[in-house]
Amino acid sequence: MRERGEALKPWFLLGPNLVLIGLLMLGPLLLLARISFDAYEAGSGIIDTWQISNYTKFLFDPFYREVLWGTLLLGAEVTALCLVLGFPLAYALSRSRGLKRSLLYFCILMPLLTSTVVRTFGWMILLGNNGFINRTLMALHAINRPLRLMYNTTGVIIALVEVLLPFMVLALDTALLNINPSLYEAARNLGARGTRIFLRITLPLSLPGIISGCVLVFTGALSAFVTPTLIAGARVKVMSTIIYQQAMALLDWPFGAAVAFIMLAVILILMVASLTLTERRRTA
Amino acid sequence: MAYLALRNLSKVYGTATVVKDFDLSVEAGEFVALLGPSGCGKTTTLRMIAGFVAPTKGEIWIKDTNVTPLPPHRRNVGLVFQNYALFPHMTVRANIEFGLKSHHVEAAPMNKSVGSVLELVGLTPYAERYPRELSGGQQQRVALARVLALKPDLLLFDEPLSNLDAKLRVQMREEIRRLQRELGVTALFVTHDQEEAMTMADRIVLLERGRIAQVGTAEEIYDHPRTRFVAGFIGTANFFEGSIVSVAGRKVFRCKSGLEIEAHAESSDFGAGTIAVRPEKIEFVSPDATHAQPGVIRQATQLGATMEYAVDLKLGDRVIVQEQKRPRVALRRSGEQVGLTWQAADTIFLRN
Repeated sequence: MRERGEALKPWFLLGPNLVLIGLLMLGPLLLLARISFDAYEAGSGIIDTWQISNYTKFLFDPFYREVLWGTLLLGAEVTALCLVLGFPLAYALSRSRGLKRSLLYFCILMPLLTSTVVRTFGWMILLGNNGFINRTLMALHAINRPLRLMYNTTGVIIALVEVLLPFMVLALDTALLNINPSLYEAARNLGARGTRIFLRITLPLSLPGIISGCVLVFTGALSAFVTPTLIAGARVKVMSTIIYQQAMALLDWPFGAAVAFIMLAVILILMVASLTLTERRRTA
Repeated sequence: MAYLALRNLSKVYGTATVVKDFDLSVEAGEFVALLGPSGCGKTTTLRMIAGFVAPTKGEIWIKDTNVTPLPPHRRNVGLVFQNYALFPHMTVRANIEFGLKSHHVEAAPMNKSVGSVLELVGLTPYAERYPRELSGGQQQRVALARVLALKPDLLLFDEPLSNLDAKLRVQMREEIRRLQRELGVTALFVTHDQEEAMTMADRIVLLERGRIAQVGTAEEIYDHPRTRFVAGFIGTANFFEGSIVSVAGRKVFRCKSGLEIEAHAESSDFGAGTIAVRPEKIEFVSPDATHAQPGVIRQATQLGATMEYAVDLKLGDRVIVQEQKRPRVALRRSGEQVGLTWQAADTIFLRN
């Protein structure tokens, strides 16, 4: 009897979460999946049927394919920048102790402490044609004409890197902290120096952190909505703005739902692929 | 000049002096133990030799070269870590190759070196395994093979056996000693285990709070400890505090309790001090024998081949006595009245 109780314990503990996820996430998601196979006609609205034209419309239309490709590219660029900028930061964080670590930690988490809208308005003040950066550079006569930092992908990338960097740094910090410091000493004792230690010890051993950080940042960049909308406006189309436009402005819920599922599928494929990669390494 | 020479080595962290005026010469092929309780500075000394800690003062010379300013990777000193520090993402072979590749050894000689050290430690069949697939003893051997492949001028061990179980520890002791002798490599190892130091080392350096308390062979240190700390750390000893006085032309050690011990002391030894007597040097006699100290056994402890008795003397001192078990001789019991006696030659006088 007791054994059975022990076996049930995890389910008991998972229970509330499972109910919550089932009711509030899987349920609506299934409804949305159903809608994505409906048809839409201007004037008469959603027509209850089964067909796949919403999906084919997206996949065979060069405009939408371009948007998908552009979104993935944006995600990749943001992820790469976060990795390159985040690694030294995470390394410094993992190597510091006490008050210094707490302060660094706080600074790294700072972008997450303000709301997306407020933070994005901040970037607009900085990046605009008449913004702080352009005015300063003009005053210094470094440029004659304002740089285009807003209403294009550059601005979106800058703003997204800022807000997603903490996720990368925290994932890398955990992985780096897991590396036994005596391994670095052993490597030095065996005659290795900086670059070799980094490439052969630090990098491979922090790979799980690199992968989970990249997955977090990439999915975060792909699903970002407020930042691209406010900073790029109508100039840059990403998947999330397309979904919003279709569902909210044009009321074409079926097509919006289909686009959402295509994005979900892409994210899932990438996530499963990278997670199996880490799992395989761990069990190799 | 000595093969390895530490001159006046000191390390200060803030206000804490961890190692102070450490002077030591080690001959080629010698196996020396740095022994002491935790926090005595033995590991810091080892890390200074390996190059991970910069000495505050003093110099380290290996084979007539001052290595003090050299970084770790230019010292050719092999360090076996307490936790082995094997690279978890590399096979045994890759772990061994790591150092050789760092020194840009070419493929053919590298494979030869890897093959020979694997054979040396008996791990040839395990070359393609990962460290987590090996037992503690095997991991220890990989750590050893990894540094031996580089033919180091000096081998350093940081508590190499502390993570192994008791049986394996004894086995690895012999194996490390055999390898070290066969290769003729000079080695220094850090331990807090006196038995390990006594069974393995040619010479023991006993450390106390950052200073050398005594240097010598196991026998020298055991039989002729220079301080009370040394006598108490290596083996056990009964200590009697008091002073040497002259009684009718003879030198007698008079304890605070009133106990008088015939002292084996140099003619210059006088004044306050401590007498140490090893528990196995004390014999049981009948309680009323002449010159015997009468007392009563308070506790009898089994140590295996020997028995340990705690005896309270009539005069108040508690004395620990160890006695070999003998065939057909009954063990003594708690509460038994006994007399204790020992030779003056077996007492050690330690001046305060």
